[in-house]
Amino acid sequence: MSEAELQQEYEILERSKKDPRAFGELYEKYYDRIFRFVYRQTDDEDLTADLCSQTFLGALKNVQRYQFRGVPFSAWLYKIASNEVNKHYRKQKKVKVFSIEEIRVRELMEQANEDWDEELIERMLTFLKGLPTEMLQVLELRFFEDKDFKEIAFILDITESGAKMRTYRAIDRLRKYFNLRIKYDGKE
Amino acid sequence: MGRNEIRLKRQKLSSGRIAKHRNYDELMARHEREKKIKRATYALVYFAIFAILMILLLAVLTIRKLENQKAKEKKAVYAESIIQYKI
Repeated sequence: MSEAELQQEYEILERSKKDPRAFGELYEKYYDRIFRFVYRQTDDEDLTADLCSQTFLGALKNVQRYQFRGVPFSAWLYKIASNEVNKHYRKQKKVKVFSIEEIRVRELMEQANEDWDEELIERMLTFLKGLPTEMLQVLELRFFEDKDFKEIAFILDITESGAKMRTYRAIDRLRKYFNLRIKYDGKE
Repeated sequence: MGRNEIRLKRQKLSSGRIAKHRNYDELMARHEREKKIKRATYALVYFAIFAILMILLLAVLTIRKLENQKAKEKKAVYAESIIQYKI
């Protein structure tokens, strides 16, 4: 995100503090992204709509207290959405769902120059099932939402080095499980 | 070791389907409603605190009044008994 875009968002937020109607611009801009992010963790359209509504309502309620902390505004929305999802699972005491889009997995596989087949995707699902929630969250934000480590750390309320460590550990497990030589951040 | 349920979505959720749920006017209405409820709750809490304080104040004043009355009655009885004793 460019400096100009950050500045523009900041101005909208400042206006939203005086007039909540101004927040509509950010709502329109980020609704789809937040919806997809939540949907990936619920696999339920109506529940996602509810949680999304809660997320934006929470943001609107607390916009007065928003302070720029070196990450784009969207990271704040992701953080609220992530908390709403966690709150839902805590209340319902259900096993957390991660639904991943085949097309995105295919893209990632192609980036790693791997041949795509059904067996591979089955193995990938089994591998992901074995990963702890913290690692899945980091992987989701890194590879499905294209967030950098600073944003991931902010969203999940962990340190930047913690976010990196979780990602590298997951990649290491992936390498071992598939016996791959994936290059990630210049490391093999 | 299955800690989470992993599901594979064959099709991506379309923007049109997401748009069905997008409604900023409804969100604003909800926000206004919650603001009103919050304000009403605050007003109720302040009123309750004020009412409790007033009740306490009234209670203290009544107790004092009763105590004064009792003290006066005691004094009157004492004065009467002294007069009767002198007579």
